[in-house]
Amino acid sequence: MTMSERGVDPHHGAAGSAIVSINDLTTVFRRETGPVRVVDEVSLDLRRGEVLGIVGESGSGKSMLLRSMMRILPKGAATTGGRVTYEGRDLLSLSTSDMHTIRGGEIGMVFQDPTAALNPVYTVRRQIYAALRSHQKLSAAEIERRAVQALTDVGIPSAAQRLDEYPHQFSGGMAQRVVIAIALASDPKILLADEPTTALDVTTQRQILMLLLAIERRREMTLVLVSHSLGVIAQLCDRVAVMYAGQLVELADTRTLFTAPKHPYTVGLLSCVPDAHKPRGAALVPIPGTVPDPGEHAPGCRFAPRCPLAVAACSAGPIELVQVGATHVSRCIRTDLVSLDAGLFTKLDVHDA
Amino acid sequence: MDRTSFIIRRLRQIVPVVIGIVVATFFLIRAVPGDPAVVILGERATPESLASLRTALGLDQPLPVQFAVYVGRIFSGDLGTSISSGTPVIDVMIPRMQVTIFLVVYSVVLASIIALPLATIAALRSGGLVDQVIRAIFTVTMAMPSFWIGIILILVLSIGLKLFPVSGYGDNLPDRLWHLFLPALTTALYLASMVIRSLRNSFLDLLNSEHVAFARSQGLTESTVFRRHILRNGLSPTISVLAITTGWLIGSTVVIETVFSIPGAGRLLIDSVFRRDYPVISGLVMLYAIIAVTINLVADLMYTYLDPRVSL
Amino acid sequence: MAPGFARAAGWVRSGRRTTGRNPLLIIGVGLLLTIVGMGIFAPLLTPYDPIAQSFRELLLKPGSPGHFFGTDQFGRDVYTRCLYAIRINLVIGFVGVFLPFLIGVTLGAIAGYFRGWAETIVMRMVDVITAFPAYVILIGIVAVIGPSITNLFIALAISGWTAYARLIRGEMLAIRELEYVVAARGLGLGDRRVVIRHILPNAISPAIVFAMADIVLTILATASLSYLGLGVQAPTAEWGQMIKEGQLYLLNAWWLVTIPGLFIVATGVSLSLIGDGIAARLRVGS
Repeated sequence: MTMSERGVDPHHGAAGSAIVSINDLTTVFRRETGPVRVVDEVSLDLRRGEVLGIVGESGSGKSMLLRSMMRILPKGAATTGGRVTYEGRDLLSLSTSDMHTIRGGEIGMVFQDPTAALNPVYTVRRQIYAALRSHQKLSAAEIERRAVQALTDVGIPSAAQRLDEYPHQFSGGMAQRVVIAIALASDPKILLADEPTTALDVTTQRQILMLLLAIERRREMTLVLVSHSLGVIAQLCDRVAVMYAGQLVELADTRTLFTAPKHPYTVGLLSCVPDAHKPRGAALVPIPGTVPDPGEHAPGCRFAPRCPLAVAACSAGPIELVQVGATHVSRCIRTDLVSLDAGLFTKLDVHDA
Repeated sequence: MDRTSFIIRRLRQIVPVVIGIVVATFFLIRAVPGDPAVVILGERATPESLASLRTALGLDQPLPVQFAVYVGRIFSGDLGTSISSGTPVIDVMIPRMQVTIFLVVYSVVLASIIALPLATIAALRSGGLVDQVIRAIFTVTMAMPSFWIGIILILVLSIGLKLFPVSGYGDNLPDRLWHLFLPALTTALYLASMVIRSLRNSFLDLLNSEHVAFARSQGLTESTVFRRHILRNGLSPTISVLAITTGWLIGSTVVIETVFSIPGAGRLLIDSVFRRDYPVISGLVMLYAIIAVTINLVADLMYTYLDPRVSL
Repeated sequence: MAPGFARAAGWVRSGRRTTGRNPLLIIGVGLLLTIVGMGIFAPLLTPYDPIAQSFRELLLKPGSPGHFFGTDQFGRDVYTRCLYAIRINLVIGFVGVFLPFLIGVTLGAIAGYFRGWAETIVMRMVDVITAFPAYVILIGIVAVIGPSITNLFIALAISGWTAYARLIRGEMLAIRELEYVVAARGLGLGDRRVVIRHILPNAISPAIVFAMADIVLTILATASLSYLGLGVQAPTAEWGQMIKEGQLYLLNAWWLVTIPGLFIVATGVSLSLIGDGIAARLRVGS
């Protein structure tokens, strides 16, 4: 996949002011061996009207970051520090009932697997009605009209007939459209999409992404798109945050990130993706090793064990984010050596060709 | 698969089981070592009385003929005649089984009342003190013989605190509920232990499920999420556990009825064993099996209504 | 069969490694060893005879001199009878599970490996037997063949093998298609050899876990049948039988029912803890 018209527009992303500010957000998972930081002091702004991509391998903490913002963490996980500021209020210290008005009403969320996100025992009607009623009182006629409208808006044909079907009667793509319709039922300003296409087949993936993009434009929403696929990110996003082992390791506008990444991990991710920026004949090289277990972080850079540029200093102590450009930060002490063309993850002889 | 074809398929699965039950109960009396007539009447019985008993039981015919007669009688509702009382087995059995079924239903209701709140607390505070205590009680309950629990309840609540009668059945409904409280509680403790464990685990799974997270992300309140997404979804697996356990429970009422001297089918079964009243024994064994099979069938049908995805 | 059992024994033997992390398993093993020891060394632990009656010491309360747990209606020492009952009840518990285990594993393996009519026959039998509530089928069989310890084993075997057959068949169906089994067959190994050497050892672990729970169920069933008068007969010291007799004296001798029951509970809890420990270990292993 190549970069879309959105990805190369430098103004769009930079223009908006922050609608949500995340500061030092830390979420831990309680294990028998002790608490484990799955989101580790992440600071990040969501800008009004932008599409922000969050990318990382599974286990990097990107889904937990979204769930921490919504305060819908799974059992055993808890946010222990930081702030999530939305319209001057810290979401993390809001009362439960205030948080209910935020969820769905201000911030909506779309999940990875639509067949799991929809409750299998209820018809689509019941589920979309519940979402519509959660923030406003509606008459019977009005709610039916809105439900049909919501399903039609996300491209479900003959929506009125499909209201009384159960989720398992929908295909994956159609079910994800239902999920999106429900998430948008109360007109949120921000939509968090947690790997919305991972569970779908390739053609459907593209349709759902285009739908999300169209909705984001039409409603002038802010969209956060979490994905482990750089192809998806490149297509849709204005800015990209890269997460690794619970930490934010790089943040830049999409074009910069894809053309001049300043973190070896990002370079590694890019060398796994077939795309136009790489020399012809370059092998797709997976990053050696795996994401470390969240309980076993060394004090220094968490990527060091897998990093071709790692030196002793990398493992000596905590690495801070450094400013490498006007809107570009990276958590690396050797950014001067990081470049797509350095062949960090490809064989040199192939690269020279 | 739609519901109708599921039901038809499920009914078809039952046919061989029912045939097996009939064959097994047919052979029950014929498997008695030696001459059943001698076993029933004793060594000193006269040849005439032995011969007439053999005729009454149909044992003087060739086996295939006996079986044909047996099956034919079952279809006309004739399960033979009780040797000890001389009345038709079916008339002896039915009133006693009604008592047993009342006890079973009472136990299931009590067990649900006990299990639901405890399972909820255990799941919401999993790993917490209440959860640990419930798990410990479960382990201990499973190691206690039900008849012993019953006797200890009598000892403490009936004899010690004089709260409940020691035995008996009661005349009207409130009286009956009062008389059967301890026996129902005894079986309910087991049932509740099983249900709590299964319910707690399905609640825990549901608490971490995507559709609960999605429901929360829509701004639904915790109580709504719990009611619609956890309670409701936890129901179908619980029904299965209840059905399986109730099949077992029906058997265990045999013991409980003896502990509390309740005039149910279980007590009749034990008495008939001691009286060597084989027609009643085989009739009861068949009835118990048919009831257990029916409970499982009903549970499966309920399942199709509770979970629209079901297909088997 | 041998490799399967060697493997099963291996878990128990190497249980050491996990006991360090599982205090409940240690408690279970300790409790069971204590109970087994009390049963084996009963003659050393008590001066009395479990059956001989002593009409000068009827229904003595617990704590009476020389009778820590009191005496029964025949003047027999309750503690002594409970100790000797350990022998009966534990042996029935273990042997009463071993037979159905053997039958069930064999028939289940045949059904799962050969499929076809063998499977149909075995599984139909399983369906029919499991249609009867457990106590009803046990009582029905005892009613036919008469109450005695031997007949109790027969009844337990007829009613109990079905669970093992189901478990083993299910595992076999999954395993028989796996690569190494296909490879073993491809090498021309005979059916029996493939089943015994290659499939059973892997299919047997759920059956082992269930057997641990089944021992508890069997001990409870034995006590229940004896309580009903259809199991172990008087005057043999057996917990259920003791409770049956003790219930007649409930109003003035609470200890006659309470103490044998506590022995049952202690035995059951110890076995459950061990069973849970083994199950947890198997889960971690797989």
